[in-house]
Amino acid sequence: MSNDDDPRTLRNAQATIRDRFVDAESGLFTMNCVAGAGKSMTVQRIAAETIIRRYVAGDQTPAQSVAVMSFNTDEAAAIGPAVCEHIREIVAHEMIPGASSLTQTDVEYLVTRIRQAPFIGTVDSVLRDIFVELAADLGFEETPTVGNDALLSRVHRECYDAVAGDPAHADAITKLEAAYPDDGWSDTPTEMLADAVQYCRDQRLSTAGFERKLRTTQDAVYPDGRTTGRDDIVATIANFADADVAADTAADLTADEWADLVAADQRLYDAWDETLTAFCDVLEAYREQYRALIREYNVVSHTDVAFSVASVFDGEWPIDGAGPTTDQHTALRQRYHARLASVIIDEAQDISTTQHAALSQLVTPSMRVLACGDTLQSIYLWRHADPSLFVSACRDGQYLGIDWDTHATVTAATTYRGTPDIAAGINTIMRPVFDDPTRGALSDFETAYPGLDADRDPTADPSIHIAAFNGGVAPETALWANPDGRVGEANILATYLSQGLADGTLTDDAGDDSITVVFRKRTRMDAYKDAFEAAGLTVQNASSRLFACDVVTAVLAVCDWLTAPTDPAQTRALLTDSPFDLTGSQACFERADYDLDAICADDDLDADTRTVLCGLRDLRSQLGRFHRVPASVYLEDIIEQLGLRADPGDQFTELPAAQRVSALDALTNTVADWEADTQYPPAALVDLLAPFRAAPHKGPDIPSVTDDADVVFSTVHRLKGDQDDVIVLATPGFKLWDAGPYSQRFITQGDVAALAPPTNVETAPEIALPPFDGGLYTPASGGRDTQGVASRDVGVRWATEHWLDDAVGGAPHLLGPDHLQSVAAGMRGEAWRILYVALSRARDHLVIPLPKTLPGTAQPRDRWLDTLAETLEFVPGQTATYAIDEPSSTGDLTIGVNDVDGRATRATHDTPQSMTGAVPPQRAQLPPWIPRFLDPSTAYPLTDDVDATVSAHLLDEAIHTETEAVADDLPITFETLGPEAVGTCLHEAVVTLIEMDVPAAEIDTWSKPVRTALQHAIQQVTPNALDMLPDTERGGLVNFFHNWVVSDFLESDLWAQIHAAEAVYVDHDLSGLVTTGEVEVELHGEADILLDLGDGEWQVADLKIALTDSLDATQPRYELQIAAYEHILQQELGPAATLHTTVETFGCVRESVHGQFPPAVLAHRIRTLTESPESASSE
Amino acid sequence: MTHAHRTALTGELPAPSCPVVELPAPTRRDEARAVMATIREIRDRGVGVRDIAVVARDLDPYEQPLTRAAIQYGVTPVFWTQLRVTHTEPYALVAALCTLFADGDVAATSLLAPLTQRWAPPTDAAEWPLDQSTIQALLEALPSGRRSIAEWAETIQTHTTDERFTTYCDWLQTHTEREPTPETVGGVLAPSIDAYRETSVPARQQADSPALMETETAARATVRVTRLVEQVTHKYDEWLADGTVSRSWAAVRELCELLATQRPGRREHSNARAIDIMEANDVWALSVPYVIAVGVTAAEWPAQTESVVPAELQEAVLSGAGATGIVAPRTAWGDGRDRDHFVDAMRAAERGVIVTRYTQTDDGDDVHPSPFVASVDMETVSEQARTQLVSTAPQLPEPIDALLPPSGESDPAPTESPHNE
Repeated sequence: MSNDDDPRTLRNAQATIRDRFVDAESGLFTMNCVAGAGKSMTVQRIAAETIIRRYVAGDQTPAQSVAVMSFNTDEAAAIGPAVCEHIREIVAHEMIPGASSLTQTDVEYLVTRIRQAPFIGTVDSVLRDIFVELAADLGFEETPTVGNDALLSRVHRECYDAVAGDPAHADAITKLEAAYPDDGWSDTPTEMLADAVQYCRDQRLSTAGFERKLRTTQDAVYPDGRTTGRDDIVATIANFADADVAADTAADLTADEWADLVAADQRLYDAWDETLTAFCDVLEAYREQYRALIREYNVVSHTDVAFSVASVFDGEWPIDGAGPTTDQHTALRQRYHARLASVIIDEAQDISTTQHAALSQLVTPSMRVLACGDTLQSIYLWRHADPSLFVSACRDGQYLGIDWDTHATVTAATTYRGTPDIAAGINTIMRPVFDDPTRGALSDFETAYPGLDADRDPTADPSIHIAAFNGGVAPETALWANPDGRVGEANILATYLSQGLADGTLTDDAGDDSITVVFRKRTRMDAYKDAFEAAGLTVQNASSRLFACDVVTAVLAVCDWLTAPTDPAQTRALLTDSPFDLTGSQACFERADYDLDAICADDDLDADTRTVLCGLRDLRSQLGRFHRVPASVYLEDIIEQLGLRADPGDQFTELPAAQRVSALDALTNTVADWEADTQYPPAALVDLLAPFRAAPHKGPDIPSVTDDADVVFSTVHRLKGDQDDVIVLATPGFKLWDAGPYSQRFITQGDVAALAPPTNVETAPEIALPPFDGGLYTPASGGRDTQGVASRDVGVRWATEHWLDDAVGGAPHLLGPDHLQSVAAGMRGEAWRILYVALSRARDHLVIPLPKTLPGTAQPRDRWLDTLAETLEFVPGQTATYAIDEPSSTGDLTIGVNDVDGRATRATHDTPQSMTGAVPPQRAQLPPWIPRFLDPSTAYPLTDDVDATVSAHLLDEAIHTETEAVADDLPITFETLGPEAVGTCLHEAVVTLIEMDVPAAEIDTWSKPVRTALQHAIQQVTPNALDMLPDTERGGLVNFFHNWVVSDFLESDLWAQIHAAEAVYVDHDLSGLVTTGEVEVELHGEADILLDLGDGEWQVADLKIALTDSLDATQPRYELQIAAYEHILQQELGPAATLHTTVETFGCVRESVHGQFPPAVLAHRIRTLTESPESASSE
Repeated sequence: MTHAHRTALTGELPAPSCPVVELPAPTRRDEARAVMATIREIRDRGVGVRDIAVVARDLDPYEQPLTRAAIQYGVTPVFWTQLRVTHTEPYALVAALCTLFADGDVAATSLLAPLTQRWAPPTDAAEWPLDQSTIQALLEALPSGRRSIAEWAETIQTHTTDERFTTYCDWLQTHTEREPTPETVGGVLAPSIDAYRETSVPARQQADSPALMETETAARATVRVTRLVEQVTHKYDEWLADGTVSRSWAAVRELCELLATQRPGRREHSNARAIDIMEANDVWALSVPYVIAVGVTAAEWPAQTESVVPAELQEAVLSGAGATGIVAPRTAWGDGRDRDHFVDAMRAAERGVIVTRYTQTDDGDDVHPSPFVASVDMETVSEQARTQLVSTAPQLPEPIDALLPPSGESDPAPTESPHNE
C-alpha cells in the first residue's frame, strides 16, 4: 500500500519511456497508453525532470527549451501547475541525480520560470503565439482574435453574401441552391462552403486540388464514367454489391425501365458534374472573400493559425495573397530550432493534419520528442484529428516530418483508474470489438487493443452492473427509454441508481460517490431526465445547448423587441410568441392593441405579468444605454430587470434554478467574449447571434454547475479526459448507421472529400435497384428516419450503410464504392472507440442497461446494445449476480443484475437554495445614498434636503441656500460680477488683509493695506473679468468694501483677537471623520481663521459677507458649518482644548454669532439620514 | 549555477500577519456572489463598511460580476478605477452630435441619436429630456434612407406634432456647419453638455434607485465631459493652426475619442454606504481590518507579462554577467509587480484576509490557484459551506466566522486615515 506522503513515481512503461527519453540526446519516444494509464502524469513528470536536469547542467532558463503541449485545453491548463508540483516533489525527495543540489530558492525560481514558459499549453496556444509574430506579414493590421465563433460565422455569412451577390457567380449559386435546398437538416451550400474552406486549409489544398478530390469521389461512384447503357449500371451494382444480385436486378427490370434508368443516370452524372464545377468556381471566389474578410474583421480560426504557421515556415508563399518569404521568417524558424530541445506532446492521437504540419516546422532531428496518446481513444475525426500520425510515430518512428534514427516505443497497459472488475469487464466487451474487422478494427489506421491491466486492489462486490428491463419496442425510441406507465431503459436505470445509492451498492464507505450518466447523443436526455426525477433523483445536465434553453431564448426575444419597442407587431411577437408565458393576459393585450403603456395601465393584469411588463417598459426607457454599453452589460440589465435568474413567476422551469443561473451567466460571458472590443446595439446583437439561435448546436453548451445533484448527464465527448466513481451508459441501443455518410451531402474526412450528387435531378425513383433501398439515387428530404427500421442508403450513386456478408472470398464489408465506404468505416470505427472511452471513465462501478430480450434480430455490429448483451453473456432470467469467464482476470468476472435492495429508501436532504436562483435582485432596495465626503459649508443643505441638493453636490457645484437677491441700497451695480463673485471677492479681500499681518495701529478703513487687499482679491477672483470691470462697478465695489465691510471689521472683537493671538492660521485645512453607527463621513473643509489664543484655548471664525439684510435662511447653515469645524478640531486637539466658534458677518449686516450647535450635531444629522428610508431621491 | 541576484525576485512571499481564508468558487460569477454574500454577512455582524476592502489585480473582468452580485446581496459597490467615459451618457451625447454633423446625409437613427442620449435645449428645457418611447415611436414612423438635416426637419414635420422635435431640428439647423471652427465646436458641445447637466442629470436622479448609482456615474461623467469639451475645443484649435487636421466634425469626433481614452476620470466616490473595490496597485497605503482579495488564480495573479527581452537575456541581466552588469533588471521579469501588489493586499489587512478564486473557465476547463498562495498557510472554505453562504439561508463559513471578533465584542475603532485617495 502506498502512503499518501510518499512521492509519486513512474512505474512500468511510464518509467521505461522516461529513462529512454532522459538518457537520449535526440530521438522520438512514443507511449501508447490505455485509458487510465497515467499518461498526463507521465508527461508532466518527464517535463519536470527534463527541466531540472537542464538546470542542474547549467541552463539558467531550462523552461524555455521544453515544449509541453496537449490537445485538450483542460489538461493543457494543468500542465504548468502540475510540472511545478513535480519539481517540488522531485527536489524534496531527491528523486533524480542532481536534485539534492537545488535549494528551495532554486525551486521557487524554476517554478516562476515555468509559469512564464512560452511552449507550455495547448497545441493551438503554442501555435497562436508563433502566429502572432507572423500576423503583420500576413496582412493583419492588428493581432487577430482567434476562434471567435460569432465573428467567424459573420465572416462566412458575408463571404457567401458577397459571392452570391456577384453576377459572375449568380448562375452557379442558383444551381447550388437548387441542388441542395435547405430542408432544415441537411447541409446547405452556405455550410458546405464554410466547411470546405476549413478543410482546404487543414489539408493545405488549393481549390483545384480540392476539386480533384471531389472528382475522385465521383469517379469512385461512377467507376465506368458516364453511364452509356444498362451494363454500366449492372456492373456498378456488381462492383458495389454482388454479381448475383446485379444479375437478378438486371433481369427484374423491363427494357423501358432500363431505358428510363440509363437516361436518369446520365442526367444525374451530368448534373453532378456541373454541380462540382459550380461548387468549385464558387469556392474559389469564396476563399478569396474569406482571405479578405478575416483581415477586415481581424479574426482567424485555429485551423487558419496552424495553416499559416505551416505555410510560412514551409516557404509556401504567397499565403492568402500576402508577400513573399523573407529572411526574417527563416531566422524566426531557426530561433525556434535553436531554442527548443525537447518537445512533449500529450493526447497525440488528436493532433490534426495541419497542426502536425505546423509543429513539424519547429522540430529538428537534434531534438527529443515524446508523444503520448491512445489511438483507441481517438474520437475527434469530425474535428480533423488524424490518429494515423501517432500510429506512424509508434510503429515506424516517423513523426513531425522526420524519420527518426533513434526511436523507442512502449505500450502502457496498466490502468490506475478502474477496479480490476471494471478492467476485466471492459476487456470482455472491447477486445472482441477491437479485433473485429466489422467493428473496432474498421479504422483506416492500424491499432491493436492491448487490454487493460488494473493496478488497483480487487473489490469484494461486483463493479459491473446490468440494469435489466423488458424492452419490447425499438431501441432509441421515446417508448424504449421512458414508456408511459411501464418500465423502460431510463426508468430501470433511475430505479437502480436510486436504490443503489440507498443500500450502499454504489457508494463508498463514507456514503459518497459521484455518478455520471453518459450519452452518445443528446436525443433522449429529456426523457431520461423525466424518468430520473420521477425516481427522486436530482439531475444536472452538463450537455444542454445554451441557445436552445428557454430563459436564454427569452432574453434574446427581449433584444428582438428592443429593436423596435414601440411597434405593436414587435410587442405582439414578444408577448405571444416567445418563451414568456403570458397567455393569461392575452385579452388585455388585445384590448390595448399591444401598446405596452396601455397594457401596463390595465387593472386586469395579474401581478407576475405586470412585473414582466413593467420591467419591459423600464428597459425601453433605458434604450439609449443599449447603444453605448457593451451587449454583455445590457443583457445583464435585461436579466436583472426581469429577475430572470430567480424567475419569480416560474416562467422558465425547463432547467433547475442552478442551471438557469448558469445558462444566463454563460450567455453574458459568451457575448462578452464574442463582442470583444466591438459594441453591438440590440439590432446588431440579434444579427450576430442569429446563426446560433437558428442552430443552437453550433453554439456553446450550458456549463456544468457544481451542485450536489445525484447524477450528472454528459455526452461522451464532453467527459473525455475526465472520470467518475460511477459511470452509467445511457441509450446504448442507438443505430450506428443513423447519421452515416449516406445521409450526408458533404463529406470531408481524412483524405476523402465528397459532394453528394444534386438532389433536384429526376432519377426515376420508382424503379427499384435491389439491394439499394434508394434505387438509383433518392436523397432523403427533411431529415432522417430516426424511428423504426430506417433505410441505410439513398441509392446506388452514393454511400451506403449496408453490410455485404457473403462477398466471395472476403470478410463482411460495407456495400458501396470503397472510396466512400472508407468514410463509413471510419465513422463506425470511431463509434466503437467512443464506447471504449465511455466505459473506461469508470472508477468504481459501471452500470449498463440491457433489455431482457433484444428486439428483432441481433445486430452486434450495428448497435452497442447487442454487442454489450453478447459479450456480457446476458440472457433473460439472470438475477442478482452471474459469472462469466474473462481470460485477462484472475478468476471469473462477476456481474450484478439489478443487484440492489428494492426496499431500500434513500434519505434525502434539502439542498440550500441559491439566493441568485431564488430572489430577484432589487436595485431599488439598496440602502439610500449617504454623502461620503462633506464640506462643512454645504453640510446643512445637503443633510437637510438630499433630493434637492445631491445633483449639485455630485457635480461639484455650489449649493446655494439663499437666493441671489441683494439689498436695494447697495452701491454695487453687479453688471459684470454677480452677487456670488462679489461675495467671494470681498471675502477674499478680508482674508488677505488678515494674512498681511499689518499692525492694528497702521491700518484704517482707507489705508493702503486695505486697498491692496481688495486689489489682490479682485485679481484673484476675477482675472478674466478684471479688464471689463467698468469704473462705476469697480467704484461701487470699493465703496462697499471700505465703508460697509472693513470699517466694521476693524472695529470687531475678532480683529482684536487676531492681534492678541499667539498664532493666526488663515484658510486652514480641516479634515476629519464623522462616524455614526453605520457609516463614516469624511469632512474636508477650510476654516477662514483659526486662532491659537494660548493656554489651550482656540478660536475658529468663519467670515461671511452679507449683501442683503435677511440672513435667516443662511443662519442654520453657518451654525452647522462651525459646529463641524469644532468637531474636527476637537478630534485633532483632544478633549483638553477649549474651543470657541463664531460666524462673523460683515456688509449689509454686522453680526457675530457664537456657535450654538453642539459638535455632535453633524453626526446626529447624518444618523438621521441613515435612518430615513427616503433620505435620497424617490424611486 | 545559481546567483542571488537572479533568484532575488522569486523568493518566498512574506507570511501575512493575520489569518488567511481561501474561498474557492466554481466560476468567476460564483466567486463574485460568494464575495458579496460574505460582505453582507459580515456587515450584518456589525463590521463597518469602511472596515472591508475588496481587492483585485485587475478589476476589468470583475466589474460586472461584482456589480451584479453586489446588487443581488444588497450591497452598493464602488470601483476605484477610472471612469469608462466612453460608456457614459454625456460622452455618448457629444459623440452622437459629432457623428450627426460629420456625416451630412444621415439615417433617422443618427438624426435622433443625440435625443436618445438625452439632449436638451440650452433654454426652456421644462419638458426635457424626451422619453425613449417618444423618440422610438417617431423613429419607427420615419421613412428609411439618408437625408440632410434640413430634409429631415421637413420630413419630421409631417410625422409628429410634438413641438420638441421641431425645437431640436431648429437647433440642429442653426448649428449645421460642415467645416466647423473651434468656436462652432464649443458653441455646439458646451451648451449641450451644460443643458445635460442642468436637465438630464436631475432627470436621471429622479429615475434612479435610492443608492443613486446611475446618478453618481452621470455626474462624474458630466464633470469629465465638460472638461473634455474644453480640451477638445482647445486641441482642435491647435491642430487646425498647425495643419494637423482640416475643419471637420469627424476630426472633432476623433479628438473626443482620443482624449476620452487618454485622460483619467475623476476618482472620488460619494456614497458613504458603498463598499470599496479597488485594484491591487492602489492598496499599498491601505490599512483595513478585512481584505477580500479576488481572482487569486494562476491565470490572473500574476498576469503573464510579455517582454521583448528574451528570457535568456533577462537571466543574463539578472545575473549581472559580463557587460550586462550595468543594466538594471525589470521587476516584471519575475512577476515582481504583481507579487508586490499581492503582498500589499495581504499586508493591508489587520484582522483577516479572504482570498477568493474561481476554479473553472467559462468553458469548464480547470483554473488553478495563484502560485502566490501556494506557501500561505490558510484554511479553505468547503464547497458545501460556500453553497450555504450564497443561499437563501446564508451562514458565514466557519473559517471566515473565526476572523470576526466574538459576538458582543466591539470592532476596532476606525483608523484616522484609512483610505488612500
